[in-house]
Amino acid sequence: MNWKLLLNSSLRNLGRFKLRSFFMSIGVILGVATLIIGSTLGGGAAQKIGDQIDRMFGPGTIFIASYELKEPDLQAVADELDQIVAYAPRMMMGELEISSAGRSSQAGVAGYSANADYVWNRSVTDGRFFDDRDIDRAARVALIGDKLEDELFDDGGAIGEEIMIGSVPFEVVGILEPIGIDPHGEDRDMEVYVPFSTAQRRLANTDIIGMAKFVVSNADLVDEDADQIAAILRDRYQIAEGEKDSFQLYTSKFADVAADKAKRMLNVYVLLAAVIVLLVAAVVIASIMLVVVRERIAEVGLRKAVGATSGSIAAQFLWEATTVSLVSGLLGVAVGFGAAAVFANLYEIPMQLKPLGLLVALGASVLVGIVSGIIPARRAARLDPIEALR
Amino acid sequence: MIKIQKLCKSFQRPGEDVLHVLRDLDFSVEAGEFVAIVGASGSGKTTLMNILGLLDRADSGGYELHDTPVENLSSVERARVRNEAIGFVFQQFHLLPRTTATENVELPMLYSTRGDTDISKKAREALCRVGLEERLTHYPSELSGGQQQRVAIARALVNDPGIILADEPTGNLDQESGRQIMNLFTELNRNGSTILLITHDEAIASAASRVVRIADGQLQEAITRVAS
Repeated sequence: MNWKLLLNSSLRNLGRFKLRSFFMSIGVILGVATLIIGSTLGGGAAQKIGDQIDRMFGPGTIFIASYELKEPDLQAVADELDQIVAYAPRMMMGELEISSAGRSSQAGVAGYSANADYVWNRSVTDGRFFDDRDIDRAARVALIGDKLEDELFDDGGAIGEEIMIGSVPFEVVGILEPIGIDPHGEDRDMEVYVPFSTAQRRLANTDIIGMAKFVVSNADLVDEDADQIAAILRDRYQIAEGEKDSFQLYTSKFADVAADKAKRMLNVYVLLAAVIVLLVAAVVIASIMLVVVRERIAEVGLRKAVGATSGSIAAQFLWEATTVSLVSGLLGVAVGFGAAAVFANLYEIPMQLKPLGLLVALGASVLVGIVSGIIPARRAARLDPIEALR
Repeated sequence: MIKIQKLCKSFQRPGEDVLHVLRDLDFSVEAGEFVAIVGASGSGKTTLMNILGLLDRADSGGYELHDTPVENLSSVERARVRNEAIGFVFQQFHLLPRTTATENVELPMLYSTRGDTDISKKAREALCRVGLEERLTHYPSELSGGQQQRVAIARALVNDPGIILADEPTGNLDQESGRQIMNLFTELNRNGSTILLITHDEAIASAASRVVRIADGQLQEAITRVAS
């Protein structure tokens, strides 16, 4: 048997039926591309989710959300519990229209205190953060994200300029540190920060804050601290024994668990998606190959007449399926890296090149070829040459 | 070259009586002969051809090819004999579509154990022998029926088999192309090839140096002519 020539002629055969080869390839290309995207971006994306969660929580923090939360509640908790190092409200106003000199944009607006740069882990890259005077006076000053700055002002220079939040004029005093898109898909570089007192009095006309974060002195005790906070708040809100809390508390320990879970889920989903796509690809290749075998019955008969053994017929079809699959796998790697580069750029996720991911992707494509080629190859090998040549 | 003794082959289809296609058939072919087997359709001539070509097995009887009994060979060994010792020519040509004449002729060499190095050159030489030197890279769809059958004959020749088995090789051709193909067989025979031709057409069979008739599962010598 001249294997080299036989394999060559299989390759030429695939080239002769380009459309069919394309249909056989597409599933493997997608599956392998998914694997490659997962392996190059999965780590970076998980890291990013972790960073975002760390930014939101940080070590030794307790996050509170309640529709009746007001500033005095926070003050009371801080007064009563010595282990509270700091606290800062976060008053979400939702999307509002922001305009300046005829240009406008929609942006999420939130009210913060003067220590939010420390408690909420976000400072300014240009200009200044809020100070206590801004809070006390409910000053009409704002910090804006760098993307919003680009939308509203040519070549930067927002600081000192006036913007309208709805119909209220504010002075831009700082540009927020860029942090990209959060796990909820919100572009945090499009946000506007205002003092929470200003938000209460001039934008929302309410005392309700809605959210806040506490920083505690011992990160290991956050869960116990959260219980104490809950007790104080239940007392203040006069929640009877057995009734549900009207607030939710999330500690940084809970966030760690959630982050780990999110990272694991991300990996599992990517892997699951790739496996499903590859299984479908195998079924597609197998069924097309079965049709091919039926179409090429006369060819199989002839090959047997001129000296092909059943083994070499089986090898030919197996080889054809595996070649399609492997070539598609290589294309899938290219497509995957291309798509990963685009996503990495778009969502600012660091790319990681993992040789293992590459090996698994190519191994999977060979496996798909072999698995999908077995049944068609056996069927071809068993054909009776006399029947086949009739 | 071919020696067959008391060959029997029968078929049974479900719900029908056993059909004895070949009954104690004796037959032999010497090297260099051009033999035509003539018979009506259903007379068993294709069955005989399939057995001679090692595509099928007889129920009983002896078959020696090149003085070697072949009844007990394994399927792999039979494939090797088909590859090296027999060249087939079929009524329907059986060329691979979308495959050039040269590549079609290369096919038997892909399964050869001889390790030919330049199979493309050998294929082109075989195509020259059948007068297709101008059509080396043509696809079957670009060739006439007669030319396609020439490609098939080149494919049958390319491994230098001892014998060429041709089953109704002119059955799908017009009269003129058929005549040319028969001339080609005559010429190949003159140059040393042993040819076994199966046909229902007496006129075609007359090109052979020996004609045998198959009827009732047995062979009868019809005409014997001295090869010119």
